[in-house]
Amino acid sequence: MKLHNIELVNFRQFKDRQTIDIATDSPRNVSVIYGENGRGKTGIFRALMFCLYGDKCLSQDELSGEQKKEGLNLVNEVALKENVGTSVAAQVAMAFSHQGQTFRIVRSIDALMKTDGAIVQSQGSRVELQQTDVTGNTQPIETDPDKITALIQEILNSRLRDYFLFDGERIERLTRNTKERREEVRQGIRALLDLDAMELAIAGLKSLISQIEKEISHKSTGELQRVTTIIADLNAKIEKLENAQELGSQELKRLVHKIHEISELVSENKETADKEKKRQELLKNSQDLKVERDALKREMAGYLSKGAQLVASELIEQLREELELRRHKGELPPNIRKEFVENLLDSERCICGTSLGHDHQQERECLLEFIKKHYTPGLGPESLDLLLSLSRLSSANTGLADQFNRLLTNNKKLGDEILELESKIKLLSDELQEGGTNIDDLIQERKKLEEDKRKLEREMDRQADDIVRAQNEREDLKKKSIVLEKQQSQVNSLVSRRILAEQTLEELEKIYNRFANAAKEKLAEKSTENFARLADDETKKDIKKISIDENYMLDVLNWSGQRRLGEISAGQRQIVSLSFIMALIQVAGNLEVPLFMDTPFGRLSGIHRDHLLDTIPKMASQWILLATDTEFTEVEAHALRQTNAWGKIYELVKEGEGTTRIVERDVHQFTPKRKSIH
Amino acid sequence: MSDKVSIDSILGQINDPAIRIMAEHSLKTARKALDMSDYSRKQFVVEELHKILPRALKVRADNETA
Repeated sequence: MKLHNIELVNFRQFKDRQTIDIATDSPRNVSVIYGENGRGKTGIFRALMFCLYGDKCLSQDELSGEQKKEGLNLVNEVALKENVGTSVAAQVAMAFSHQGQTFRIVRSIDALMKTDGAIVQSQGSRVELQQTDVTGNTQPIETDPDKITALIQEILNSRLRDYFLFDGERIERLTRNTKERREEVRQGIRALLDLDAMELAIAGLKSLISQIEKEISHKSTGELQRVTTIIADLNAKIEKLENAQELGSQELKRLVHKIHEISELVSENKETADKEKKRQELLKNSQDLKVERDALKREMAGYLSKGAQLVASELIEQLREELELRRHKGELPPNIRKEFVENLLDSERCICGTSLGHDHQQERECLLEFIKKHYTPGLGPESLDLLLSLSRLSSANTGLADQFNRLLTNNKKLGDEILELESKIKLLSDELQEGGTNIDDLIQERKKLEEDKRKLEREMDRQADDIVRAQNEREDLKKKSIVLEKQQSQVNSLVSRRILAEQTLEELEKIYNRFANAAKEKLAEKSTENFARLADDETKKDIKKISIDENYMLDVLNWSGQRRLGEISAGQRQIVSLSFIMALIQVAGNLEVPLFMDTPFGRLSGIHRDHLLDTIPKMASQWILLATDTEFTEVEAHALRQTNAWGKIYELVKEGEGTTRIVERDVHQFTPKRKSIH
Repeated sequence: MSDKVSIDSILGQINDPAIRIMAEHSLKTARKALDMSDYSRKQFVVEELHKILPRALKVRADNETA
């Protein structure tokens, strides 16, 4: 497909009728659309997508689900304002050639501005396909939108629409090591190389075989019927499990997307995220302090039984001191029992062997004096027991009060700290709530989603095991059924069908695997070749090869074969992405479409820019470069002129509020506004 | 493999004409079905394959007779 021109009437910023002729003649196949930000460069690509597919927004438009459904307003707002209350049409016509024939597709959409300024746009659009004959006459050949869609699909499949336009950010994103990017690369490869169609064809053949086997089961008898019934049941089971896996994959994608969205929401507001982080820290500290206080309380509870003793400690001490004083004075009986001393006197012998007889009167007198002094009526032996008990209590009480005081002080300190933390937490929570985003809820939701994801992954692993088991069982039974089928002629016709379907399936699977691997190798090879053309010498010293692994993940290998994508600069990553994009176009082959690149030079150094300007025109059938004044300076203009590939230049000039005029300039004389920013 | 990689050219090289018809037809219908909803696309391919089977079998039978 070769794009000749685009004609816009009241489309977005482009008021009235304006035309862009696209450079088609090789080698002059580069068209530059030059303009400052907001002039409508992307609008040109938007017009193309609307004209071909009726798209009212692009995949990179950051719109909510509802907004995407509604689409953007495509009718020029100035024209609408000049005709309040009257319907105004935006129209895009595109002339292109395909396989030797020239077509023109015209699509329009109506909108109306109400008196209150609200704009209402019609849901659908009108479309007409025209063909230009050899004499140059253009006639309508189709007006049925469905038939036109089918025709356009054959020329330029809408699934590939995202691969005609690469903006600078998307180019850089392709090499980011995230699951989403890997999926984007994978989808790109699958769509451009028809691998997704092959996968569907394979799935269809599997279903066909299942259906035939079911029929065989109905029509067979005896042992064959039994075996085929089991096979049919296994087929149904496998299909059910495979469907569940497919649904699981979709759900998994949804969960990953949702988790990603929430993570973005949580992290996009740094201030909020910092507050939330602080709040989480405080919550943890508060929780730790509460645990500490609980332990303290348990320790304090142990002291409760000693409470009464503590209360009476002063009285106990007074009494003990009084008794001690009286014992010192000898008013308390000694520790030796009176009966013991009396027994010694009766036996007239001390325990040390000394005689206490009448010949030792002095010792006897001494003991008699002892009895007289200490065992006089008054304080009995009970007072001695009391003194001993009081002494024990007094000793136990030593330090108890101090310990209890320490516990009480610590408890109060912890309580105060907890109160202070809770007050800070409340303050932060209030601020987060006022900010309109309840981060806590989001984090909780993400936690739940992550748990759902883990559960789903476990379930899917289990299903995958069940599928393998059922497939093995089915294979064994099939071998048996083949023998039995030969004995039953009435199922022969169905068996022939099944055999052909199975042979086709086997062949397709073989081709698919061979093709997918070869395509990946070819993509890696071409990406590496392109990289060698685009990169400067220093970059080529760092990166020797671009690889695409079994998961369709892009990577770069250094001189020793080590993966180094994470270590290269943003500019180098951009070169890797561009090399891959070009390889996709080269390998897909049938994708002879105009390649739109929106601000692709962003992070590229001078030599990389020169190489890009020199190389891409030789690879792409048509290159439409959408560039800002800071990107396309005198240096780039000079480099592009040197290539001899520069065919057209259009400048987007702001005319007034909401209006841009497309002005064609002469490529030989065009002077960009800026000399160079390098 | 040249720079341009195409599944169609590989399918065209399948020796068995019956298998080739089936393979080419299944890919053709799968391409059409990719624009349909997730739920109806596989069924569409199966229906189309049911239709093409008799023709492919006839080609196989004719081939065997020849």
